[in-house]
Amino acid sequence: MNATAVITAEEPAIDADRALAELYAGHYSRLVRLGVLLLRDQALAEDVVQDAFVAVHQRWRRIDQGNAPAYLARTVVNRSCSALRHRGVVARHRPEALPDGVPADHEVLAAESRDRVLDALADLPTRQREVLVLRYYLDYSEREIAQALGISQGAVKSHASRGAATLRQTLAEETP
Amino acid sequence: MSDQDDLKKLFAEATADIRPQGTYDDIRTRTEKVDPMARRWFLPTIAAAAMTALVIGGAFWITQDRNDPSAGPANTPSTTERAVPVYFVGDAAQGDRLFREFQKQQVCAGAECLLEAAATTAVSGTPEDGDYRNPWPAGTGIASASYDGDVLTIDLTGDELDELAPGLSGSDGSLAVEQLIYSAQAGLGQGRVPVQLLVNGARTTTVLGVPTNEPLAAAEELDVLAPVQISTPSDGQVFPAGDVKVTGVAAVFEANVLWELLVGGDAVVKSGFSTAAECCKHAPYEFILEDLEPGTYTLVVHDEDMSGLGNPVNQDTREIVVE
Repeated sequence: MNATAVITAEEPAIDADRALAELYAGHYSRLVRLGVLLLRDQALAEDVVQDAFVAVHQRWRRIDQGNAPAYLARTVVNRSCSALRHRGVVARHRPEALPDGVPADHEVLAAESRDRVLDALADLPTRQREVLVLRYYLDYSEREIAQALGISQGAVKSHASRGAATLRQTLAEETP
Repeated sequence: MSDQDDLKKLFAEATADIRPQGTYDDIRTRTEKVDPMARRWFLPTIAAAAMTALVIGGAFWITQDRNDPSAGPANTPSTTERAVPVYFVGDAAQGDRLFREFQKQQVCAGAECLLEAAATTAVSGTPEDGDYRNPWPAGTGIASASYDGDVLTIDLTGDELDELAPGLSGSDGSLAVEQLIYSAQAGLGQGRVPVQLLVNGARTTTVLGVPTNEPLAAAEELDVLAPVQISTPSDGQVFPAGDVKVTGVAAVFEANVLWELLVGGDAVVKSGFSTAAECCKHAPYEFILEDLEPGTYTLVVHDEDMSGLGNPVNQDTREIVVE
């Protein structure tokens, strides 16, 4: 995890409630966005992230507290994978686009661009998507990604390069 | 623009206008209630539907892979609802361990039907208990699972099994393989027979980093199974008011299994202990929750911290609904 970690290993153990408050303040929004990149579904991403916070609160005494933000991120990645598995079985179709409300013109353009990126990500194999999002959205190092996903740094490199190549190609093809 | 910056910028832009909903109070509300309450509002919307689909998907798969061309869905051998034993990964005091679930699925009647269902659910199914997870890469499947009286052979399908092989450093990959071995052996019901894994019809050097040139023996139960597990009831099971029987397996000091029944998160309404049939190896235990009134309960079954230092204990939990 990078330097934005709210709780560091040097601090004394704190109780689960306070930890939850600090983790929420420091990481909730970012993790929901991470979930949207992984799931292409904001409501589901919020469910998954809130679930991860509840799990951390429940297991607070049993987890490595100094690495709680990394634990949270890993939980979100794992639960997103499970949620996709559910959804893949329930219906093999792409979820509805994110709600746009009543947008202004520049917001429409932004939403189109966003949907293109999310669509292209959704078409990647799960592992490539996870590696790319951890690398380029959470700024994880290859070593941190390897630890979070339980794979080697060599596999991280391979997934990252393949995923990035496919993503760039997909987006280039679609650009008018 | 550098190779890396363009993707950073893309992801930042793609998420810039997302306004996350959900407040700290929402999460607090959930942690203050029973922990599985957290799962209740997440699971019914997704998992309940998924379980239905899983059963359908499983039945479809079984008919699809029959060699007999006449065995289409219209004249499939009749299926019945059977309890499919399957292991998933969950947290124990020592780290990740395997927990067993019995999932109700429509399965054909033959001996190998349960084996196929167990193996398929192990690599592509979803645990009913939200505390557990499936460690296999998404997209993994089972082409066939069979037993020749000597070796149990499982033919896996999937693109990421070889690819990940050099990547998985030890424990995660080997626990996933153990999870499949234990599930398949449970489905077959012939004890701890050797298991040969194939990928896309052929022997491979490794599966998820585990050498698979030869049939594998299951690891020792004490090394891979969670020390305290609840077998029944299943998570979220609904009962009429009255007595509820709890069964499970435990490998605990002096065979003592402790339990509490909670309501509203932390209020203990009943507690007690039971004794497993044997000490220090996985042995069955059971006890009765007597005279339950309507409500939603959390059952926690755990071992004792003998150190007195507040060390983590091994536990398994279930939500029980009494109507």
